[in-house]
Amino acid sequence: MAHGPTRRPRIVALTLAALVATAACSAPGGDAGNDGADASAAPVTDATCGTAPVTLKGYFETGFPLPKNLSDEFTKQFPNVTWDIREDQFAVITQNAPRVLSDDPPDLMRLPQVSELVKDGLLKNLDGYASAFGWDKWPASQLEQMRVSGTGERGDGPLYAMGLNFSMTGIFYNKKLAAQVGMTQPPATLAELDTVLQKAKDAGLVPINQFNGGATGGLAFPLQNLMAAYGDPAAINQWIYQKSGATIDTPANLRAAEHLQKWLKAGYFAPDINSQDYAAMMSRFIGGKNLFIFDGDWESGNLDKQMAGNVGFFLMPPAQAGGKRAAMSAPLTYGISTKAKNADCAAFFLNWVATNQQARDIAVKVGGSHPMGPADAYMPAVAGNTVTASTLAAGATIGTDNGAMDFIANATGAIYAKGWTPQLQKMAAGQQTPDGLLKSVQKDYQSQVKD
Amino acid sequence: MIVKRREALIGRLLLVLLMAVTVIPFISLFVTALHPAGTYPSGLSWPENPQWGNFADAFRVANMEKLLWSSFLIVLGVVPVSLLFGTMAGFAFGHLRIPGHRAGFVIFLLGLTLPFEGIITPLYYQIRDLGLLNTRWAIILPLIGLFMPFSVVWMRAHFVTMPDDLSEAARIDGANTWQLFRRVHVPLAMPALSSLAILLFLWTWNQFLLAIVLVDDPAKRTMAGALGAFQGQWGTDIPLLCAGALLILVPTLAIFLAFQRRFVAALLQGSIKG
Repeated sequence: MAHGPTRRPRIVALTLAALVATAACSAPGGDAGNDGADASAAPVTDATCGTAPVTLKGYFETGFPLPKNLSDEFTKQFPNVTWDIREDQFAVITQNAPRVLSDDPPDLMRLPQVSELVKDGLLKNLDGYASAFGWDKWPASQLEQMRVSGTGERGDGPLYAMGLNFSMTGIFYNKKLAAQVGMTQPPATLAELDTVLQKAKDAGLVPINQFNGGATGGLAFPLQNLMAAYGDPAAINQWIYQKSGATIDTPANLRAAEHLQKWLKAGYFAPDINSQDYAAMMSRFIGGKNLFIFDGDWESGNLDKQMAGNVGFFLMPPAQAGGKRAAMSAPLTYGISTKAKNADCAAFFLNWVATNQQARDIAVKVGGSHPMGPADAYMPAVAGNTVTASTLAAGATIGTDNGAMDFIANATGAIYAKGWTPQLQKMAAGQQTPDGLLKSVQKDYQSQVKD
Repeated sequence: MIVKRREALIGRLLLVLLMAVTVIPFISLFVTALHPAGTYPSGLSWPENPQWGNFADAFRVANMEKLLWSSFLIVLGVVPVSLLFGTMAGFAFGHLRIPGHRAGFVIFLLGLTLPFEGIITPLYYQIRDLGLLNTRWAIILPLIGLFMPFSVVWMRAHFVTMPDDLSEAARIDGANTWQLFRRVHVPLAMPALSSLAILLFLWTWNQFLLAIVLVDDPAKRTMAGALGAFQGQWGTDIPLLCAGALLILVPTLAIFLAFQRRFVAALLQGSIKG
C-alpha cells in the first residue's frame, strides 16, 4: 500500500487535533445575567389569567399526583387555561433547575432549595403578588423558608417561591403494638417517650426502625427532633438559613446528640439500621415488625390505606411537660421563572391553590399535607381515626407553637451527603461521639458556606 | 478430546451456578412487580394476589408508548449513520491506508478514552447555540459523534485482517475503489457490521445522560428515562418500578434473541481467524 510522505501525517494530526479542540471549547454563549430579579416588588393588583386562551408551562415532579390534579381542577374552573406539563424525577429537577429556568423557562416549576437559584437571578420576586393577594398576612413560618435576602441568607427578605402545601414530620406508631406495651396515649414528655421505648425493648419488640443505610442518614430525623426538644427551633433554623455566626455545635444540640446516642446504646433502634433503606423501613413498619418510625406526612395516605386504623402519629414531645412542640415542616416549593411568559397567571394559580375550597380539598386528599393559607381558612373534613387527621392537627399545633423548622440536611447543598450521613452512620456503628459528630458537621458546614 | 466425567460434572455445576446468579435478580424483579402498587415488599415472596395489571399500569403511567416511539426515532437517527461512517472510515484506515492513517487512527483512539461525562458541559452550550435543545437532534447528533471512535476502531480491526490479495483480484477485474468497498468488502464485513449494529443499538437505547441533560421534555427522551415516573422525592413505587424495568428490558432482549446467532458468530469469528 502507498504511504504518503512522512510530513503529511503530522499535518493531518495537527488539523484533527485542532478540530477536536475547537469542538470541545466552542463559546459557551452569552450569560443570562441577573436581569430584573428584584424589579417587581410593587403590588401586582391585576394578576389574573384573563379570559383569552393561556397555556401555562409546568415542570413538575414524578411520583406525586398533586400538582397534576390541581391543574386539572384549575382548568375546570378557568377553561381558558390549558397546561403543557413535563414531569421529571425530583433528583433530576434538582440538577436541571438552573438550566431549565434560564434556557427553557417554565411558568411554574417544582423547586429544590432556592437560595442558589435566587443568587443567579433565575426566580421571580413574588413580593408584588404577596402583598396584592395578602399572602403576607398568613402565618409567617409558612413562607419563611422561601424568603432569601440580598446576601443569600434564607429566612427573611423577598419571597421567591410558594408552596402547594406544607409537609409535617414526626413519629408514626403501630397502635396494636403500642397497646401491647401499655402506651394508651402519645407520650407528653421526652422522659415518657424514653419509658415507652424501654418497655417496648423489654417486651421483645423492635422499638424503632429507621432508614440510615447507603446514601441516607435517616437518623437526622430523630436527631433534629431531639435538638428541638432540648433547644430553640429558631436557632436551628438560623443555622439552616446560613445566618452568619450560626453554629450547630451548641450545648443544647450536644445534649440532643447524647440522647440519640443513649437510644442507640440502649438498643432502641433495630441493630441493622445502617443497612436499612427507606423502602425496607416502610416495609417492616407496615408489616407490624416495630413500634415507631420517624417519618413525614407524605406517607399518611399510604399508611391509612395499608394499616387502616392501626397507625397513629404524634409530634416529638418536649423535654419539659407543657413545652412547645417543633417539627421539620417544609412547603412543597414551586416558583416562577424570571423569564416566564405567564407569570401573572401562574401567581394567580398559586393563590387559588391556597384559597379555593376545592383546591384545599385536593391538597389534603391527594397530597396528604396541610394546605397553605391563612390560619382560619377552610379545612376539609377528614375521618377522625385516620393518621391523616392526626398529621393535619399536628400542622395546626406547629402553627400556633411557631415550631416549623426546615431540615438540617438542607442547610447547604452537600451537608447531607458529606456531613450528616457519614457521621450519623459512624455514630450508629459506635465509631463517633456526639461531640465529634457536631464538630465534624460544623467544620464541613463552614467550609461549604465559605465557597 | 475426551472429557472426564468429573470434569463434565463440575463444569455443569458451575454453569448452573452462574445461571442462577444471573437469573435470580430477574426473578426477584418479576415477583416484586406482581405486588400491589405502592407497597414496599420485602424479600422474595409470591404475593397472595398477583397484580398482573401492574405491567399495563406501568406502561400507561410511564407513558411508554411515546417513549418507545421516541427511542425508536433516536435509534433510527443514530445507528444507520454511525454504521455507514464507521465502515467507510474503518475501510480507509484499515485497508486503503490513506496518507496519515496512523495519526488519524491515534486521534480516534484518544476519542475512545474520552468519557461522555467529561464533555457534557461544553456539549450543552454547543447544542444550545445551535438551537437544538429539547429536540431529538440534541441526542442524535452528539451520539453519532461520540460513537465514531469505537465504530471506526471496531471496523478497522476487521478490515485490517482482510488480505490484500482480495482487493488486488477485484482491481484486476476492473473494480474501482467504491465498487471494491461496496461489492467485495462490505458483504465480507457483515458479521462485524451486524455486531456493531447491535452494540450501537443497545448503547443508544440505554442512553440516559445525554437525554436527561440535553432534552427537558421527557417525552422526547429515550426509554431509559421512563423509570423516573415511579420515583418521588421521598418514596418510590417499587412494584411499578420493577414492572417498568422489565418492560424496558423487553425490546433489547427481543433484539438480542433475534440476532443472537449473528452476535455469537461474530464474536467467534475473531477467535478463529486469529
